[in-house]
Amino acid sequence: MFSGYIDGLIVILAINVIMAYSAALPLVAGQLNLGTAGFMAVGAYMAAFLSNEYGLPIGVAILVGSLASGLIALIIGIPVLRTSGIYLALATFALGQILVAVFLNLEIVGAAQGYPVYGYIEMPTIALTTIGLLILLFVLSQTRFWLYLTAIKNDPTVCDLFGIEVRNVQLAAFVLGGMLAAVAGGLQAHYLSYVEAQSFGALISIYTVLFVILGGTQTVLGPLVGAAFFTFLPEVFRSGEEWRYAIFAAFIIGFMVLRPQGMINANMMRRLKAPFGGKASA
Amino acid sequence: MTYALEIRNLVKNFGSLEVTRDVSFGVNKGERLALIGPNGAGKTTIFNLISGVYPVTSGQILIQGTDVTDVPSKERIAHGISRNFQNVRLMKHLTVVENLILDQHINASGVANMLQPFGMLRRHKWWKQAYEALEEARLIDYANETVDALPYGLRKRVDLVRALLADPKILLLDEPAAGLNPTETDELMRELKTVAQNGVTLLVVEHDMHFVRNLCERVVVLNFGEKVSEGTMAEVEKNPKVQAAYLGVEAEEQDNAA
Repeated sequence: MFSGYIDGLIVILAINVIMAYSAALPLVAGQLNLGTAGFMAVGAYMAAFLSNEYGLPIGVAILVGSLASGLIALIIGIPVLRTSGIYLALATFALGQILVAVFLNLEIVGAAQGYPVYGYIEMPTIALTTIGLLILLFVLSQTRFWLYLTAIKNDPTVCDLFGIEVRNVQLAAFVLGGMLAAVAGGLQAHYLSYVEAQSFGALISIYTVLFVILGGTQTVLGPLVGAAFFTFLPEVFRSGEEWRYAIFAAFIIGFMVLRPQGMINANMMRRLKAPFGGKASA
Repeated sequence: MTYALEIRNLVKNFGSLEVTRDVSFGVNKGERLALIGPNGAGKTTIFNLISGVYPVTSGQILIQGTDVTDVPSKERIAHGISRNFQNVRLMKHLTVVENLILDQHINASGVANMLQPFGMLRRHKWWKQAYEALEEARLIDYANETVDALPYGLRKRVDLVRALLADPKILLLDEPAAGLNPTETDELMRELKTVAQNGVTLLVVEHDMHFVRNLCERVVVLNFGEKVSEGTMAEVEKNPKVQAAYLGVEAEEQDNAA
């Protein structure tokens, strides 16, 4: 449909967007997950393995991979989410590294040599899946669940007094995030036709969190805008080659200083909505 | 007769510090009781124990005769306890109406309720209920303002609307009149009397003695974590221990002012 370059860029954008939401879900509730790349690896390997070895349709394989990742997030999330702040960040960071290390040593999926994937999906399928997920996420942002996430970030003690199951809501966000990352992994594996553990390094998790923080967590659009911006920005600086990542890093620092609440914040969205009856009638 | 709220021999220690020492009192249904005492007397601690913010060291908390001492904080609201906070703990980044919707949780728990995309459905009963409550409290104009954009007095009013939205049987109010001007205080007093007439039991911590005298039928006086007196305002004012601990200072100030 497009040139290979544009196709590739759209896929990177789609993967980045899905990943951004995988980190955003817990982050909306104030919990930093620095292990999203690990869940991405689970989804990539699981989906690749199921479509390679059992001939499952790619969609089904990705779905099962996502459920498996969700299950891992659930089992590990129960103890890990007892921590918070810097401890939670470190615990999830370690978790991501452990998951990747497991695949690096798992002979059945090629260990350090990597794992070829035979099934192939094209760019439009990935783009449509991403749009579908975005619609689901938008609907989710209109629920009490999302409201509770925001409230828990504000004041977990008061949420608890309101009767909200704070820990369960946090756990659900963490699990959903793990499932989303796995979808991104499964899609990427079947687009690149290859999975290798080294590609799920810590930097992926950190960039994912950066997309979200720079886009903003106050609205459902923030992570999308952040991921899109940071997918295209390095491309803009491409002519600078070696310097582009330095410029990119300087830009991030400047941005955090000047706009700590992210690119898109709640008041901005309210102002945008106002002309269309944002002030609802009783 | 069973009290709406009763605490028996309540003790709370933080390490070696005894914050609450063997405090007992009861509040009848629809009664307006004030908990008074100097700073550090343990008033807010008792609120935190009743609402379950911290566990008790020993003693009992009963709601309509049911022992809730070991009931987790998040389940106490189901027993009809609702409270505000001394330093207004609304969710700053959410709008006024979103804050109210949050407090409906007690009547909207469960996964099915959690996943209803009510945000898109402007006619949903949750919006209606919240807007009606704001309309009644004459706060409708602020419905879509974020809380951190509101002045303190308005935040306090929103906080009260929020606390009432959970349909409490027992309402704990920590310094509801602090920071309000005299007109706002009188208005609050009228509103709280109506709330109590509707059968809600009020337990109030307040430093404004004019407010306490006019609102509350009975007072419990605390000093250094101990109950030093209990009765009507006129009764406790006569108690020398109370005068020494608390009211004495106030009485002197009033004399000087007169």
